Amino acid sequence: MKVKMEVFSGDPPCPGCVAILALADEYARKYKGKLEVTKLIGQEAIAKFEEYKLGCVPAVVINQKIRIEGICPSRTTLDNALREGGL
Amino acid sequence: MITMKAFGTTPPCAKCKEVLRRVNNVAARYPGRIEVAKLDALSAEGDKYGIMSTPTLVINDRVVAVGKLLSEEEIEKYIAKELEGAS
Repeated sequence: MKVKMEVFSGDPPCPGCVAILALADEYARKYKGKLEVTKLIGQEAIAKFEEYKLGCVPAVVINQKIRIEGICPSRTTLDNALREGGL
Repeated sequence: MITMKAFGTTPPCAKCKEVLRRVNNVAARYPGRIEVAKLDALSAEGDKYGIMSTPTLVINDRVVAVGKLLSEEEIEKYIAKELEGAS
């Protein structure tokens, strides 16, 4: 089963959001076939943002669990979060 | 009445949330004298000020901070100036 990673960014993106969007693209390529990456940006993110009761961006939700919020994670942190998410 | 406009991203980044919290804290010290507005940087109102970075703080139509988080003391100094000018 694919691990689902939802990445939230503001519009316009803050520096943390720019970094996390780049990381999302990198991870989508790196784990092609194993990881499903969805980028939610700006107004289109609001419904999910509220559904997860997020407080701020950037944020990463893995398999519907909030893993990272308010900061762009390092690769190590994101790797650990994905591992905990079953990747 | 002094107007403080806090321009941020949608959804808000950590800095945009924090600037709004600080602005509201300062406004609470001057009951009835300060009006606070939370606005989207990508809006007609945002275009009016040529916002290039967030958070941006505008006090009485004057841009006082761009892409920078002012302390409550710094915000209060601007408010004091505006109040001096009004009296």
